[in-house]
Amino acid sequence: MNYSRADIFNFLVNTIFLDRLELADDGYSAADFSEETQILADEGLGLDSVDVLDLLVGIEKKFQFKPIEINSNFIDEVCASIGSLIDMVQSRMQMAA
Amino acid sequence: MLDLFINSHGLIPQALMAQLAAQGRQCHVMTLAECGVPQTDTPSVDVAAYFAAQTEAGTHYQNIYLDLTSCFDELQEFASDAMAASARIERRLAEVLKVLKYGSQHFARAEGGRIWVLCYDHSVSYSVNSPSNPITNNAVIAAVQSVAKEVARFAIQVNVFLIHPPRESLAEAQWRAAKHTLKVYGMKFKPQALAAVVELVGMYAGLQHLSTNGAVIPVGSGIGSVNI
Repeated sequence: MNYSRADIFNFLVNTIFLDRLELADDGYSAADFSEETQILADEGLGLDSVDVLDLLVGIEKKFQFKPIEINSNFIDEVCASIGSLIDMVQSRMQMAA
Repeated sequence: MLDLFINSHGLIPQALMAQLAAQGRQCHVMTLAECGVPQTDTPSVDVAAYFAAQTEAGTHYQNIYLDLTSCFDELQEFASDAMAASARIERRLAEVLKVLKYGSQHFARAEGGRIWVLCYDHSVSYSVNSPSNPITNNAVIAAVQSVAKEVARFAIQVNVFLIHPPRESLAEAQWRAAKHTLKVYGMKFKPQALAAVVELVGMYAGLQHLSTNGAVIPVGSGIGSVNI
């Protein structure tokens, strides 16, 4: 199945951030997110490493990826922003195709 | 139903595996370099690589048992070479933390599971010649309490069994001598049969609804160090 960048963005925001990570309970709505939204930084969403594990497991399941090797470099680089996360998803989808 | 035993050479994991096999459960085994017995037929493996391979193969464990009751004795190591003992403890704890980390990641991808760490209660070693690992025990307990809070949302439960060594782990004369020495304090511990210890551990692991997480579960008749 092909997913556009917008599809991936909507999945991340609605299914992962607002629902799975329950950011809706903290007052966030879909309008608060953009590709520039920082995931780890305190001035962004301020997610911690366990949140990131939750996020990546959700991505693995949705896009049927092999287990992602999660280490600090990967987290710092790939999970910096929603845009960089979408880049990773698209890159893995291309590799799997 | 599939369980993983990490370090399976001790009395307790051997008996527990036999009990689970009798119930029709399958068990995988793996051995750590610092906490296990590297010279045996089960070679030590890299924890991260092991779990990555199992997850990719679609293996889903229900329970991971990490046995720290056999194969090392901190007090003896310190008596022999304090610097080397410190380094070994550091390496050993790094292995334990990897099991907690990658075991949790495995379970996060598999809708949950349980990690059980088996330790001998070091306070018993004041009276008998059982392995005494107070540093490892306390570090493991702290790590388990910490990680359990973080991964609970993945339906992962992590607990420690702090076990008085079972009767079969020592010669009868040692238990008798300890009892005579302790006299009126003899109820500080009373050795239990291995079968009884394994039955209790197996009972916990088999509970459909487990209401402990990040807990230290004392096993043994008498006063465990966690109750002092």
